[in-house]
Amino acid sequence: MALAPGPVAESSLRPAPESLLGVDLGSAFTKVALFELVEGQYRLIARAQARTTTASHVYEGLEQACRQIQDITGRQLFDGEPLAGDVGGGRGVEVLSAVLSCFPPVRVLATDPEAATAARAERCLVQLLPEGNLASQVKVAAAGTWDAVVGSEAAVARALLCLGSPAPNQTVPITGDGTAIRNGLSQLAVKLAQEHVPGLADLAAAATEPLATAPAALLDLAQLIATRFGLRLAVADCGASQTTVVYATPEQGGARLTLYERPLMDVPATNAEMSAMHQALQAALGSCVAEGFTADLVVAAGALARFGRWGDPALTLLNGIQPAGVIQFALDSGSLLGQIATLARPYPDVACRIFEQDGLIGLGAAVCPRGALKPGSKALEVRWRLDEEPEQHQDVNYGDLVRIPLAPGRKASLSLYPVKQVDVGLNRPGVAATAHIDGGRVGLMVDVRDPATKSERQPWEDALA
Amino acid sequence: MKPQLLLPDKRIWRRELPGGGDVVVSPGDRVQPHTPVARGQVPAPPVVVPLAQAQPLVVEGQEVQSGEVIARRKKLIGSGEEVQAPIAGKVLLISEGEVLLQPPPLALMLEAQLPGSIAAVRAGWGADVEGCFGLLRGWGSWGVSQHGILGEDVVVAAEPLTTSSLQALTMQHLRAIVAGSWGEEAPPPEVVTDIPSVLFTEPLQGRPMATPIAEALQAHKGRAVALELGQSASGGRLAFASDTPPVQQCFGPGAWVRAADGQVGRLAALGERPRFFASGIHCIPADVDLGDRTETLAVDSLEWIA
Repeated sequence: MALAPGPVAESSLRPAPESLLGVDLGSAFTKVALFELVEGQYRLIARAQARTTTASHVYEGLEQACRQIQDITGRQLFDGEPLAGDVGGGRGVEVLSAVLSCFPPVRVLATDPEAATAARAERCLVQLLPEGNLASQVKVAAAGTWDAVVGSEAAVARALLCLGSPAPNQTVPITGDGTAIRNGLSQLAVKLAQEHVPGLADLAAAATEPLATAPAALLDLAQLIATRFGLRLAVADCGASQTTVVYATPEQGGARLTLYERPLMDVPATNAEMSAMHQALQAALGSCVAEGFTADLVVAAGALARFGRWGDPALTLLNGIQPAGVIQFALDSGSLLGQIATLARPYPDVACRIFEQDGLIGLGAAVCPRGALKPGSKALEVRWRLDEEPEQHQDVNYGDLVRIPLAPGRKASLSLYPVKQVDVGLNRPGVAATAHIDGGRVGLMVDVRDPATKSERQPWEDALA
Repeated sequence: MKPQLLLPDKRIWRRELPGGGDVVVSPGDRVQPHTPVARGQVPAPPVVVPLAQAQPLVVEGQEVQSGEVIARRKKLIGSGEEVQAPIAGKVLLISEGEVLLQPPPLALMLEAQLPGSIAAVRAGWGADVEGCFGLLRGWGSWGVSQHGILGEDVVVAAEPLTTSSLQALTMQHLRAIVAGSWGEEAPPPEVVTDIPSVLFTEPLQGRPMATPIAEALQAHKGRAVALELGQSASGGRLAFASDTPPVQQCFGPGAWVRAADGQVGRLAALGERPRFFASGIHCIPADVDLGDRTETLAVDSLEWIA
């Protein structure tokens, strides 16, 4: 997918490495990707994954995945421990960077709704302290064991008193604004993970970069890409135990994570199982975004990249995120995003280049108007023109989901003429709009369905086939 | 990949004080489940004292004795109403008609929980008990860490727990229940009070305990068992003492596995190369004998139980 260049952030001043190993330690899989400098460009050389469990030593999965890469490339990456920082004779890598989500969630007591929202950007189980009298607050505080108490300085001090004096050793106070709370919890999560996950402390010592949580690294990557290309970018990452949606613009960024009640270990063998998995994923995505969510580009990652038909992940995004406006959809089909994200902070230039060249497959563009009409009545007219070809048009009725073929690599000029009750993303119902869109594996999707009908997949799966 | 149930072998069971203290054993000491290994203190939960309309007579930080008058409400006629401290402690906070009192810390004695010998001591924190133990990873838990005798004060409920079965077990004054899963949509109603600690072995609601787990626990009835619950947000774990000779566990044909839908079976065959499934997924196939039929599943979707 080609991205229009935008404002360029300051370049990294670190020397350019020749080889980098990105490691994503998930709850169910350890994923590893080897990147190298090839003719002046950073490229993906090989990737591998190995099944793991949170109780296993992290080196078990890492060794297995590294061995697969060694079989492909001949480069030895593991010999009792990962070979990083010291390269020679087809052995080791210069940079080893890892992100993790394979740890028990951080138990957080939030003193206000804003602090709770900030905490939900990380892998946390969040309990909001109720407003009101001390008795109700002590009851809630005493009902759990907390790794962190978050909020304003005064509120956190009061909440700690509700836990008793002296406050329990393991409870860390984190105060400040949303960003400070998010960053504090991210650091705490890494620290606790090193205490709970066998072998993680060894990996931290062997890695050339500090460990980071997966949501924090994804947000770093999203903010980097959003800044460099002037985009409103969202990444929807569905893991085995959590779904994360990170959102970034050149000015700001945020994330929302939903933990599953039970891990999603399914690798669907049948079409019915695949459909059921995507049904579960769209529900998880829905809990991560607010109504009227919009972006220029939404990247689907993790389990969303498991599909039988290209339309599966696109429908999951439409039903789960329920975006508004005109949005490009892309898929991290190689499951590389986590590994690329490990490089976003230490090597932003490298992360950016790999993301652009090797990271994505375009699914197409989605037009998602808002407004309620009588079912079956005309909602908008869609006109599109491909290069020098004659303009084509199609009326789309309220209640319909329509796919218009637009192949990968094709670009189209789009004109949208909504009826007066329908808003195509300008926050001005009835006003026509134009956009330039990229084609993709699915093409152009026009989604004028009643939101109430979007929870079911089956009626709509054929529409995007 | 490690199995959910690690069959008995020479293993370590770590005992740790939550807030530090004194370790009272030395490396090499023989210990029984009730042998103290460390002593410390834990803060008692604070107590809220409602003042209603009474004016506080104490200030934050002040130490008070049990029965001491801490607030008084003046009346125009007759004697005023007094509020007494229900416990001795320190005034932590006075806020909108309530006083938060911190009682003195509670003494904590950390027991070995399992029989064995002390392999290592962590000065000020705890000790590692070494012995022949089986280890089981749980998928969820209620309550606090416990230890006891399997089949006596820690019982096994292979079928999913329900409100009525939980009520019946609660009447037996048990310390803990090891159950397959919770069998109802809603959590137990609040009318079921003082329930023992519970460790669930299955990830999905309404599932009975996996056969190899039920068999291993059944075979060790009468042995010491310890449950570590609520230490982190993980599902808890259980250790049981054993004198069974160690068995090498490996993932391959014959291993017990759990499918993503919670069904349990034995691995009948494992493919050597990945293949495409009907769903479009490319993965190594595994034939799983589910008792009444054999299904071919993606190996990556299987959880190794034992």
